[in-house]
Amino acid sequence: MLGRPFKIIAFDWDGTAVVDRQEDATPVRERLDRVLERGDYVVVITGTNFPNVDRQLSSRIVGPHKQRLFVCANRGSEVYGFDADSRPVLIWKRVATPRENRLLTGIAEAVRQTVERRTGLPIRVIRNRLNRRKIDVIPVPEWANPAKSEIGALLTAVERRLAGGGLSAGLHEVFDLTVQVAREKGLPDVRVTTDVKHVEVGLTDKGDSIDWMMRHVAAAHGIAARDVLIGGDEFGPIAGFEGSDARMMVPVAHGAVFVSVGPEPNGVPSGVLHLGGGPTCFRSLLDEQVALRQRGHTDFRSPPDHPGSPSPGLWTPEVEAASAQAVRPDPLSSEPGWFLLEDHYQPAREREVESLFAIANGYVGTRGSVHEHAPLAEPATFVAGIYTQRSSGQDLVVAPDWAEFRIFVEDEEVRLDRGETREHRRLLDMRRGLFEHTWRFADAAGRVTRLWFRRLVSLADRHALVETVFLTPENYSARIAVESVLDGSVADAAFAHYVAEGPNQYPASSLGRSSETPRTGGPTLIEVGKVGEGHEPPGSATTIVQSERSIVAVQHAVGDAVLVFGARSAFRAPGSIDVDHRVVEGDRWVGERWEWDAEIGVTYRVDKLVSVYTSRDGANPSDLVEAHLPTLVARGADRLIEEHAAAWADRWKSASVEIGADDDIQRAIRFAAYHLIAVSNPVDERVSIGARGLSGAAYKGHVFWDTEIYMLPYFTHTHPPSARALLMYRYRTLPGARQKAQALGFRGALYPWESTDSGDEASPSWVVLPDGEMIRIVTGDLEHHISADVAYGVWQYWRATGDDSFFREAGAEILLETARFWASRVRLGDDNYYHIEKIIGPDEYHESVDDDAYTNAMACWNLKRGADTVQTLRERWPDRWRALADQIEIAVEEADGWHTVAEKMHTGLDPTTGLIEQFRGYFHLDDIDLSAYEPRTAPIDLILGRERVARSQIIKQPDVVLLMHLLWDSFAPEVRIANFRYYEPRCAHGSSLSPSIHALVAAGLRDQTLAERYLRQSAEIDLANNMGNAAGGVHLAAMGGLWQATIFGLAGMRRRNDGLAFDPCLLPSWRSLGFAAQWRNRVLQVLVSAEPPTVDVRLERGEPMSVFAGENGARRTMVEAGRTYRAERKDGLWRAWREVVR
Amino acid sequence: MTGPARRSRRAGSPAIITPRDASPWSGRTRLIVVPLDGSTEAKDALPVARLVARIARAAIHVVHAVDQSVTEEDLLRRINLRRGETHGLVIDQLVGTAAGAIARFARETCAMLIVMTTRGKTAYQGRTVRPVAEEVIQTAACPVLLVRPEIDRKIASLTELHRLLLPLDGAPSSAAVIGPALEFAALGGAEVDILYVATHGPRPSEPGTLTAPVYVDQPQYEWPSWAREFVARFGTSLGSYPLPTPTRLFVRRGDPATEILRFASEHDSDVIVLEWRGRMDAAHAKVVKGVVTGAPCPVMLLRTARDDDQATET
Repeated sequence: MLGRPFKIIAFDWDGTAVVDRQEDATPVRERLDRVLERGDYVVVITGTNFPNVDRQLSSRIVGPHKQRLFVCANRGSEVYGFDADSRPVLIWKRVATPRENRLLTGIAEAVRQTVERRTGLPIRVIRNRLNRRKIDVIPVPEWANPAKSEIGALLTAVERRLAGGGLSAGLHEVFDLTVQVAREKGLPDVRVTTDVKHVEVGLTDKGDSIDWMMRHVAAAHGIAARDVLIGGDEFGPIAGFEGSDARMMVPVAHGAVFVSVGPEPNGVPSGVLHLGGGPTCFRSLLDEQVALRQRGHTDFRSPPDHPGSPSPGLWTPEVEAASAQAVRPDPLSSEPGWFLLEDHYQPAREREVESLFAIANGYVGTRGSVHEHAPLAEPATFVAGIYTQRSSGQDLVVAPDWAEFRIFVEDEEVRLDRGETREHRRLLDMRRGLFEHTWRFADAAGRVTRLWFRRLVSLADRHALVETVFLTPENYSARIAVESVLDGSVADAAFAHYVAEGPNQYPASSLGRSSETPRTGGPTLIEVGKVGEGHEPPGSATTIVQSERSIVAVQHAVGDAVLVFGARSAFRAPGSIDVDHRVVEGDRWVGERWEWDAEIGVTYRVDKLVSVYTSRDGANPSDLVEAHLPTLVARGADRLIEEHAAAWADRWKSASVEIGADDDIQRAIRFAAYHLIAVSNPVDERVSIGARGLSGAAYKGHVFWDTEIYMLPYFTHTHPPSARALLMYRYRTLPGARQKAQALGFRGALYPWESTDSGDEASPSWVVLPDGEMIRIVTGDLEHHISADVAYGVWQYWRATGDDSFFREAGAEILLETARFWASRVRLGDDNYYHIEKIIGPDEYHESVDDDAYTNAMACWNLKRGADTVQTLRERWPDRWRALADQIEIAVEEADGWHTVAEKMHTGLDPTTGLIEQFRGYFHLDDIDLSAYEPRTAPIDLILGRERVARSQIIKQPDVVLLMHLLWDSFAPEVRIANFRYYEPRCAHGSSLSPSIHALVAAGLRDQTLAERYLRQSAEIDLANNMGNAAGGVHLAAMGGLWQATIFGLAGMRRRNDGLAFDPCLLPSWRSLGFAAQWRNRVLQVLVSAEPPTVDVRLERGEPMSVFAGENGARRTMVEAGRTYRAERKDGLWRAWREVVR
Repeated sequence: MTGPARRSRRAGSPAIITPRDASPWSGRTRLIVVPLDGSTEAKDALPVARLVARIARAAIHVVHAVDQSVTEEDLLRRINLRRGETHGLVIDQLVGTAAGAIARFARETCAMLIVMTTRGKTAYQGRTVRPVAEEVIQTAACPVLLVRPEIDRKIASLTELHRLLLPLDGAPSSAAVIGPALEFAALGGAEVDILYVATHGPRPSEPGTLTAPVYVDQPQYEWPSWAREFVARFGTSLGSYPLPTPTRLFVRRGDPATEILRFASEHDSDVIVLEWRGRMDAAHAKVVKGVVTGAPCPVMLLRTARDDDQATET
């Protein structure tokens, strides 16, 4: 019927869901029960009072799902919901003031008296209705309670009666009289309706019910208008009057799908789908909804390709235009998990929200800032790999703010602090990588302006940036100006701006020369740009004006780095209008100003297209901008959006994770995947991902071990080119790692704990804490496990992708140089074992320890893989081996010695208990019960003090437990359990990297309780709104950890030399977990189901490969492309794989 | 010799003696109320009130509650003031019970501040402050500056306002006190020390709450970033950022009241400003009670309408 599911089903009761109030409503009630159970919302809209509907419907629905049922009663004046015990709760009511009540009665009585006087007919006023009065124009016994089906006869009787009394225009005359009297008596916003028997005057109507629903159900739950279904039976006109259900078509519901099941003898208004068939049809429609949702839970899902479709939840002109044809298949659009919505402005959270809503493409990233002069706003754009030098070290440069629009009404700037915000929403469309912002604002003069912004940094063309503003003066006509600005006032370092001297002509002498002094003042360089001639496309009455010249902003960063932003804008308006265009400038900003006489209710649009290049892209980035910007203009904003959305859709095909029945985790995992995609750049091997990516200034854009251990697996299995680029960054910074090792007296390569563009150590030496304590930062000196972490990433990438060229040309050298470092880092002790002393492991609460378990084990692993690398090179690529051996002066004998060191490395394992001591002496430290300090609002080292924590067994994050994950197969099951049970209660989770690894290992040990607790903790790191720790940017390592916990932990995916294995342990509430994974040029779709417990694997493309099920891969099969295989667990045992037809 | 401006009227017939001014507290008059009950202890409020009056250019009204009107001489005797001590004071006698009359007078005159001591004539065994003061701080609409008579040496040395201590718990609603506190500090040219005390206990559920960072991945970045965010986030209460008053942020750990007192002693704070939610019963105001009981300097209670259920117990 409709072909797609809806999240909210709202409908008129009488005539739509039931024939009348006497009908047995069991059939429709049963269906609504199922709709509610599947997690959707049901809103009943009725003109009658609540008890009537409660008796027929709601009193017979019981259960927690009833909390998603709402009854909007009394023609828009009341809303009832239901509590956890299924009891009705009045949650909203329109309360008339005494004056309003007097006026309502006065209006009805005045109409009665007038009609009676003119016709001599008795007219009755019914007063006992909430917020309305009914004027009965035919108070005769035979028409005391007419059925809806008798409306034709009723109309005839009414008209005959009134005409007989001398009212030739009959019911229309009474209706118009009522409107007139209401106006004369001064009742504003009065609602006059008729059901033929009555003319009703009231304060509310069904439109108020829809308004309440859209604001308090749809918006509150992030549900798009297009995912709302509104049903009725009287949309079309009757007797020349607007149908009663047409009142539900209020502006706030633009984009919702309206259907009528009524007979509608006079047709339906535009935008309503007429199905007919009455309540029977309505029940069929509910059946379809239930069936669609049930099917949706078992399908492999990949995002539909609807790049041009409007985003939900926000008004757009496209939505308005598309509303009439909104009924179309779109199986994912109803899932709020694709969107992040902030629907009101909270000053305190501004910077946090800016981080969460950041958009990026791996090359450039822009925070989700809005330009309303909010006190805490911190708009910032970052370009990967472009740093500036401060006294405290290198920071990512804050680039000019390319996204700024300034709006003026009669020369008064629209600002947050100069009026009243009526609506304020930010929406991140993660499916399409779009940031959208709606702002309705009433200025001091009461002029209401609706603004809608859409922003993207293109994933299809990483140098292209687009922002569009749609502007509607809602209740006024006035002179309006929009300035499209490049703002250097927020930017670091030297800044200059100018306008190209002619179309696409740039003064090469003044752009992008690092040797030049930037122009920041003095005589203006601005020339007034010429406005291109407007033209009207064939068949359109739209004015489109494109500026011919570009405004340009240039910023000089550290060294010779130069950033160039070039922008051009276009103005669009319906009809043919005059618009003034000029260039405006300030000390550190330049913009294009569009100014015109705006008409009330008309929507205008300004597009800003921006090209960005840096000196990392070429010697003269201005030339690149000059060449690129015209191509953006030629494509236009809409096409750029389509290309961008298509690029995102393509990435999601191999990255989507679908969880059955866990909206919170679903949203979090999608949020994590979105931000990880947004910071990766497969075509730039000179940059890696900083701790907060391109979403914030915290951590200065520095790169840590986070990338290889926490983020890399995501890219390895969803987008290998991005993983490769990250590892190539480590290859390109190998010289810096060699220098660090050498400086400390070691051989090989020691990667810096923190690095920027050069690969040199970027860790600071000191920090002053807020308690005044100045502490030495020794991680740059002592945290060496990062070298093994990089090597681990290299090896795992190679193993998972089979990318031999990478291994041969780059990865092998990393493995050899890091192994060589460890061989020089160890010391042979008197016990004839090798030790690594004065070291920091992942648990940074304990500094300068000896034989950290993680470091020793990973070093050991690194040494072995180094030796394996030598062997592999010699066997498979002897020429490369000889060249590399010459280049780095390595011999086979040296690698042989690595085996010896690895075999004799101190491990800390107590064979009697299975426990691995985290470092020498750890077990003798104070054993503090952490539970005595829960809950707490600060990290434990602040609560107890750094020294006390250092003297205790409290750890900051997993060390031994992380080993269990990374080297799972190296440990016996009893060792994994013993160590997890020992260290988990001693972990204070002082790092955002901690919860996800605990979730992962807990799932591997089949501890669902702990797995769930830590998974949710990990999911909330950025998304909880009372943490405040995302203001400086999102936590990308935690996001990578969340993905790993889900895929490696709960889906139990393990990487073997001969294929992929699955041993899932879903959370108890999960019905399914579906995801895509890549393995050696193959793409697989995996679906883990809870009941019955099965794993389905479908090889989408690539050569046949082995997959395994169960612990230790007990069940194996070979899967072929285009076919689906299923393993099922029965009685605790995994049964053999079998092919299933899908 | 200028004698005191003497007035005698019943509470309920206020006389506005200074024009309203937007600063330091919008809508309030530059009028400071000092209740005296005749005890030597209560008079310790006067030096502090004089300091505030000087920096705020405000008038001081000494008030005393009587059952029925008394003569000027009798009034001075009752409040234990000699004529030489009344310079610059307006002295009012209020008819009615002490606490109710004081609070009513302050409300009706839109007084900017009540300054009173924690001890006076009446006993306050087992209580944080004397009963009259307790009732006043629970009913007064304006800020109340409490002075412990035990800190007479501090009072004697308090001739300027140098450092104001402002403890905050990180919830956005507590930011309501920041604006008045910083404006007050600005009047006296004082610097402000914002103090956050980390402790274990439930995290405030209020959206936008910023307690110490839960995760400190790398202290060299997390702490500076957090401190910057903390100051900026709470600076929004003034509608502007950066803050107009020299402000520093400190973090301590432990019991909030103990740490506030320790900090105030170590840094020689001149006034401690506390958010005050108006409830002094056993289950509430643990921090306020602890600080008022042992404060080494005057304590200003700034009342907010914050919902207790959304906050940690302060």
